[in-house]
Parts: sequence; structure tokens; C-alpha cells
Amino acid sequence: MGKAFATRAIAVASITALGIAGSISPASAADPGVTKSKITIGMTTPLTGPAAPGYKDIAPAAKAYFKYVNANGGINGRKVDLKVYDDAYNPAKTKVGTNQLINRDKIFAMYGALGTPTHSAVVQDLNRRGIPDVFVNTGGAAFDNPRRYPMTFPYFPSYIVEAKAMGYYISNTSELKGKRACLMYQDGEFGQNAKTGFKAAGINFAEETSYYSGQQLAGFQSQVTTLARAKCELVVFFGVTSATAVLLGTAAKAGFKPTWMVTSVGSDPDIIGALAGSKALLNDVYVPSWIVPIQDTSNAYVKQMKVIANRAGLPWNFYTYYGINTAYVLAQALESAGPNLTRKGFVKALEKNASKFRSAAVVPMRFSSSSHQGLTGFYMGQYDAAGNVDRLTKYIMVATSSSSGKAKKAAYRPAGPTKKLLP
Amino acid sequence: MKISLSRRVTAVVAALGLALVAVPAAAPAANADDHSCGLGQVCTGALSGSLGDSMYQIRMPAKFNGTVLLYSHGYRIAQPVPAQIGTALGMDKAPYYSSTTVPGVGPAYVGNGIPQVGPSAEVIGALLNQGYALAGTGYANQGWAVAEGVESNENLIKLINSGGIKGTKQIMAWGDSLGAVITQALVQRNPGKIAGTMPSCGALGGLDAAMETAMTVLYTWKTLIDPSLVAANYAPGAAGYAQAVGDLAKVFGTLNAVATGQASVSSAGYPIALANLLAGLMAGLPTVSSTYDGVTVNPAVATLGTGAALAGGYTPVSSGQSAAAAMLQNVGAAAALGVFVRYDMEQRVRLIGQLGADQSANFTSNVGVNYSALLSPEQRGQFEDTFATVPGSLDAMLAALAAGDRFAANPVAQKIVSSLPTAEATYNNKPMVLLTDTYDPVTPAGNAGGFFDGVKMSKKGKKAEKKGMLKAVSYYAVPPADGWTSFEEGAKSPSAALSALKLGGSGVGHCAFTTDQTVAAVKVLAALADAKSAKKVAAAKRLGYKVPGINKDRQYEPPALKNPAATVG
Repeated sequence: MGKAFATRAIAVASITALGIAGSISPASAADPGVTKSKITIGMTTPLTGPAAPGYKDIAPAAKAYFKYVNANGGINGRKVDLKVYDDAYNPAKTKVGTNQLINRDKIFAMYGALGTPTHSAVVQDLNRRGIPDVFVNTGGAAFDNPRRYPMTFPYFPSYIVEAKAMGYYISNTSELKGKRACLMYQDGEFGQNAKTGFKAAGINFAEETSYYSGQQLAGFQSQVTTLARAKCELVVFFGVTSATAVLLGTAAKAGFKPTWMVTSVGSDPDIIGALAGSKALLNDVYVPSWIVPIQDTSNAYVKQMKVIANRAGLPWNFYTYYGINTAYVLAQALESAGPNLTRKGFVKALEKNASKFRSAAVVPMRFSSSSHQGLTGFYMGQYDAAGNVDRLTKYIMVATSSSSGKAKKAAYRPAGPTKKLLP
Repeated sequence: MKISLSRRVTAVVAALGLALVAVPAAAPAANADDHSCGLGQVCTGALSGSLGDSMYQIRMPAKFNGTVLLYSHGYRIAQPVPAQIGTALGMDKAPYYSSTTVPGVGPAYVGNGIPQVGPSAEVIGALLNQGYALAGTGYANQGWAVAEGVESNENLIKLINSGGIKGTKQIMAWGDSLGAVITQALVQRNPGKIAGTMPSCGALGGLDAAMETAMTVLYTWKTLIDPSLVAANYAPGAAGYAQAVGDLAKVFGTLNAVATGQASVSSAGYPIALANLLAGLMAGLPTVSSTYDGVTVNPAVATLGTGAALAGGYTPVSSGQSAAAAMLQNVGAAAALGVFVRYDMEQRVRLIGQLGADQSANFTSNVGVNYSALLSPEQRGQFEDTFATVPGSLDAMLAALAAGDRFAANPVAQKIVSSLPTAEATYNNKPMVLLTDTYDPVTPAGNAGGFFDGVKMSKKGKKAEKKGMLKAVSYYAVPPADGWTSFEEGAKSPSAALSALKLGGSGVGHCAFTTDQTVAAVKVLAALADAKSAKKVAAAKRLGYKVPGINKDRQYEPPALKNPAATVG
């Protein structure tokens, strides 16, 4: 997700696939969650708790978009009803909430479930029950696995793809390629995905250091000292937003001023501004992105999504933008599955039509029976002192989530929005 | 797995007087003149068998409905358990453990042969009120006494059918834990005499699976926490007993030291709570316990916020959310059984196989097991936070496990154990009701899940299912959905007593069922026996789903049992 959430990543282990595909219940004409007039979908997400800042705005945004669609005829005549469960980013609560959504609310599909540790607790069960699990809100590469999770479709590019894109840009940009590059990352899958991607990109770091989740509360003095002693000129940081704020603030106080590159999920300017006291810490920081910059109100997508947000009385920020954007894509996906809506048919429609769905994303989306990658790449951006992202590259960098293979430069011209942003 | 002994093993077993041959009961009944147990009476007596004498008990209702419920009780430890450990396990209050004194050990508790007709006084009372006659035995020997349990039950059936209970129309067999295995082994040998079965919370995945689970835990403990543990291949006789008791004392001692804050890092250099959590995850043990529900935050922490809470001395165990704390609570009972069942089985193997002191009696191997592969991606992702609290700890622990000294099995021991009677996952057109706790740390719910899958997929099971006449159902007891961890006001840790109270005895623990759940399951069994149409079969099954604390999600499946052998190679 663009600047989505605090991440807890799964180490990608070499586990034999459980052959989930063989055990999926066959879809029937009377799948739960679909009536003549309504489609019920579910979401687990943190509305409260330490992970809620920012992410709590996604669900209301999606609801606002569906309300807009419902008021304009719905999808193939059906209104969309989004049921949201607040799991406070706690996997145990995610399990409880998912069970409730399935058994009490009888959802047709799960949509936008947020978080790697949280979704890991339920992904296997969703797949076993044959419940479509679309646009999972995490960059954890493990969910892009149609063999193990045939019902699961991530949305935004994985951390491996992001690291490969960063690696491509570093290697091919004169201002950066001569610099002494170092890496700091969060322990766990987040960091492991990053290292996998950078290794595939052929990037060797002069110094690597890490932190464990929660350590940002204690500060990063030792890591900054390590990086400074190693004379790092470019520091790539793969961490969550709160950790980014602490790292940039600590480095600034210590007078350590390398060129910074941060992840799309770990640098929300509003949160950094709130935590570090100023968005200006982000000035000139490089950041990959896959979506039209939010401040580009001349863009038709941004303009129309902002109108929907304003009409619903929602704050206009990245999470609202993201929430409306993914809801828009979901609506198109449901529409493309046709009036005779079944779970099986919906999955097939996703795999067949993904490249045609329109959105504010400026990179292609890829779903097929052999790949559930979702969005496939990034452009490189750079923050200004106000926390806005300026797009530096006209080209995009596309890659896969495999452990090998570099990112490639590509051109992509996305289609404009549908009329009135309706499916 | 068939219940037949190989010729060689049969010969040895028979020579040692351990053959599984039923002999006529030679038992006095309470009413000497007509040998039947009268209405409203409690009758006890003795049964003789080739494996030894066993006591039986029959309890008659005031008004008999014609169905006898033949109960098989669970595992009772055959070796004396030192009093300190035994008290922690509740043996001081259990009528099925007698106190004794062991030279060199002191006061101890040991399983006795008192007959048991039901899991609790409340259940017994409720079933008697419904008109069932209840019967059960204490086995000739304790420990993994499947053969003894089957024999004593067969003898009791003979007694019942020869007038011991007048008016008997049918006998249903049921049992908890080891009793579930005995129940199924019994019906497999006596299909014509048992009208239906209710195996609950049993090691239905087999002794091998149960011991591999225990091996995962003990191997992890030996490698990461206490290298002095023996864990397998205990010496014969008293020396081996001392080793087993020693292992248990070390495990409980360490758990106590962690709980009281006296220890946090093992002598091998690993955080004990995390190493134990890893052990439990790889073994497939639940990450909630009777005190830690995985969801509830200490109200004080919620008010203070994380920073102030840490400053105020609140730690992860302050919250109900700590999987590590839950696993510390769960591993004790699992370790106790793992050690004593293994010791018991190894001694049986030595006896049956006439193994010398220099020969290994170990019947489970972990050579070549890839422990990292036992940790599913879902488990890693779910608990990555926990492992991330100490940098690099997961990778370091897994590397140590990969390099640790493994236990090779003696093929003779393996053959002996695999030929012992066990439960077969098949359908014999008789009603079967399984009742299982969703979060059972001793016999994980995957035992029932895998067994039920086998029943449904058997030839007769598939045939019956096609017609809607599969008279088998598997119920899972669940805890309160919104959590149960409770705190005294201002307390830094959850209150075990308050939490257990809120838990309400359902869904978490070994054989933790409410009276209503057990009685309802028996009602379903009886209704299935009477059902003559698919409609009636479905109606019978619906009865169980109506009971509070039974998971109404009919698509629920517990996680499969971990299979270390599948990771070899």
C-alpha cells in the first residue's frame, strides 16, 4: 500500500504447499453474501490501537465510495455492503473478526484485510473455505502464491518488488550509484523481503543494521552511530513510519546527513510530521511510489476521488485516497464478474480482467492463474519540504516477487477513469 | 492401522502373558442371586483377564431407558509422580491417584485402578436422570493401557450381556483422552456388540503422532533450554524412572523460575519463554490458555498507554495477548504426559521385546527432521512480533535445532509400538460423535480433525455420506468469543482464578467440556442410533450445534497435526 501501515512481516519459509487448491469447496450458484439486491463483503483492519493512525481512514473511505456507487445503481443492480471489523492489529482478534464476518455476516468475499501478521492468522482458512480474499493490504510477498493461496489477491507491490525497484534506480542514477550505500531494516519478513530484493538487484551494501519492532521507542542512537562510522552516503531504510520518523530525527540531531531513501509504506508525511514535529525532515528523501501523487489535483482520478471524500465529510489524506481507489478497483472487478455472481466466477474475472481495471495506479496490475502479484512496480519519487512527493521518473520499474531477477525499466500509460468514476 | 499383532510380537506378548485374549469374567455382582445390578443401585466387582484383574462399577438409574453407556477413562500415570509435581497437576485431589512413598523420592502419587463410569459427578448425575445405565472399569494396569482397557471392557460387556444389567437394549461406548482410543479400539474388535461410540479429546492420531508432538517439545527444550534433559531412551527400571522424574522436575522447575521472574535466559543462552513458544508452535500446541486469551489487554495498560505502562513495570505477561505466556502455561501438562508416556512405553517395549540395557527402547526418531519446516508461514507471520523482540532470536534458535543431536529410533521398538492396538479412522455404519476442545494443549484438536476426515473418506463413510446417512459428527467446544482473561483491579498480571471462571470450562484445556456439552453429545449419539432417514440424521446432528459453547461453524476445521516425519529429506 502506498503509505499504508505498520508492518510485521513473515519470514518466507520453504514450506511444501498444502495443496489448498484441491480442498477448496466448489462455488455454487447460491454462494453466501450475494442476493438479488446486495453483495456483502468484509474487512478486518485496525480502527483503534497503536496501528490505527492513518489506517483507520481506509475503511470509511471505501464505505463512502460504495455508498456513491449504490446511489448510482449499484453493481449489476446490487448494492455493496461493507462490513468492517476492528482487529486493533492483533492477530487473535483478526481470527475472531474473520469468523464473525464469515459466520455471522455471511460475507461473499474478504476485501482489503490489513497487515501481515494479522492476515497470516486467517489466510489459510479463507482459502480452505473458498472465500475470495482480495486486495490484501500488505506488501508481504508470501501472499502472492496462487498455488498455496488461490483465493488471495494482494494489491500493491510487494516489498521484494520495491527493493528491486530501489536497486534499479540506485544502479542507474548517476547521483546515487557512486555513493557508499547502506541499509537499515526492520527485523522479520519486512527486512528479509528487502534483502531478497536488493540481492536480486545486485546491490551490495557497505553496512547493514537493523532494528526490532518497538525498538523505535528507545531511539536509534546506536544504529545512527553505526551508519555514521561506516561513512554511509546513501541510507536505504526499510521500516515503518514511526521508525522512519525516529531515524530521521535522531540522525538530524546527530548531524548525520546522508541521502535517504525510504519505503512507500514507511513514510507517511502526516504521521512523520506529527511524530517528529516537522514534515521538513522528509525534504529530498527518495521514495518509490505507484500512485498518482495526492497533491496532483489536475489529475482526473485525484480530482474525482477528492470530491467523493469531501461529499462524505472525510479528511482528504493518503489513506482516504487509497481507500477510495481500491474500492473503485473492487467495484470494477465485481462488475466484470457479471450479474450471475459466484465466488468462482469472481476469482476467474479477477484473473482474466485485472489489466483492464482502471485506477489512480500508474503501474500495471497483473493477476492470472499463475500469478497473483497485483501491482507490478514503482516510479521513483522524492519528497519536498511540505511532504509532497514529486515524480522524478517518467518511466516505471517493474519486477516480480521472485527471489531472483532484476527490475526493468518500462513505460506505461494508464487509461483514464470511467465515467463519473463508476464501474 | 490394523489391530493385529505380528506373529513374532504376538508370540512374545503371549509368552509374557500379555496377549490380548478376552477371558470370561469371574465377577460377583451386587445381587448375588440374579447377578444383575438393580435400579437405583451402584454395583462394583472384579474382572479377571490375561492382563490382570480390574475393578468395574455399574450405576443404575431409577428408571432405565435400555441404553448402557460404557465409559473408558483417560491416562493415569503408572509411575509414582513426586508430590510437588503431582500436586501441581491436581493429583492430590483426584480419586484416581493414590498417595504413596517412594524410597529416595519421598511422597508421591500414582494412578490407581478405581473404576470410573463418567468424567464427573455432574455428568454422571445428569445421565442417570435421563435413564442411562453407566458402566466402567479401572484397568488392570495404568499408563498407556489400551490393551488392558479393551480387555476389561470386553469382560464387562460379557457380564452386562449375561444378565449383569437387565433390560439392556444397546451398549454405547464412550471415553475421554486415552479412553477415546480404547473406545475406538473396542468397537473395532467388537462391532456387533457396540451400538455407537463417543470418543472425546483423544489421541486419535495415534500414539506415534502424540509422541512425535512430545518429542518436538522435549527436543527443543533439550537443545535450547536444558541440555541435561534425557528426553528419550530412558534406562531400564529404576534408573530410567529416576531420569524421567528428573526430566519432569527440571521442566517444572524452569517453568516456575520463569513465572516467578527468577530466570529468563537459559544456560544455552536463549530466552526461555521464546524457546518454549517456538517449541509449542512447532508441536502445534495452542497459543491461548485458560489464563491468556490472546485478545484482552490489561485495563491499566490500556489507560496508561504503552510508554507509561512499560515505565510502570507492566510487561507482555501483563496482557492477555501474550502467546509466550500462554505457552508457558500449556507446556507443563504436555511435558508431564510426554515424559511419563514415553517412559511407560519404553518400559513396555523393553519387556515385550526383551531388550537389553544396552539396547535403545526409543520408538520415535527425529533424525533428519527439518524443524524450520514445522513452523508454518502463517505461524511465522502471526507471531513475528514476538520473535522480533529479541533480534535474530528465531533464526539462531532454528539454526541450533538444525544442528542438535538427534534421537534415532530402534526399529524393533518401532515395530512393537506400531503393532499395539489403536484407533482406526474408519466408519462402520455405527453412530459416532466426537467432542473436542478447540484449544487442547495435550491432544491438539488436529487429532479429531484428522480422524474425522479419515472416517468421512473411508469406503463406508463416503457411501453413507452420499445418501445423507453418515451417522458421524465432530463437535468442537469453543471459549467465549470476546475473551476471558481477567484482572484483579490494579494487578499487573491476569488472575488465573478469575480468568478460568470467565472461561467457563469450555474450549480451552484437555477434555474441558461443560456438563451440557457432554450430555448433549450423548443425546446426539442416541438420536443418531435411532435415525432411519437422512432427514433424521441431519436433525440429530443439529441438536449438538444448539448447545452453548459448541462451535456452530460446520465448516470449521482445526489445524492439521504437525508431522515431523514429513519434513525429513
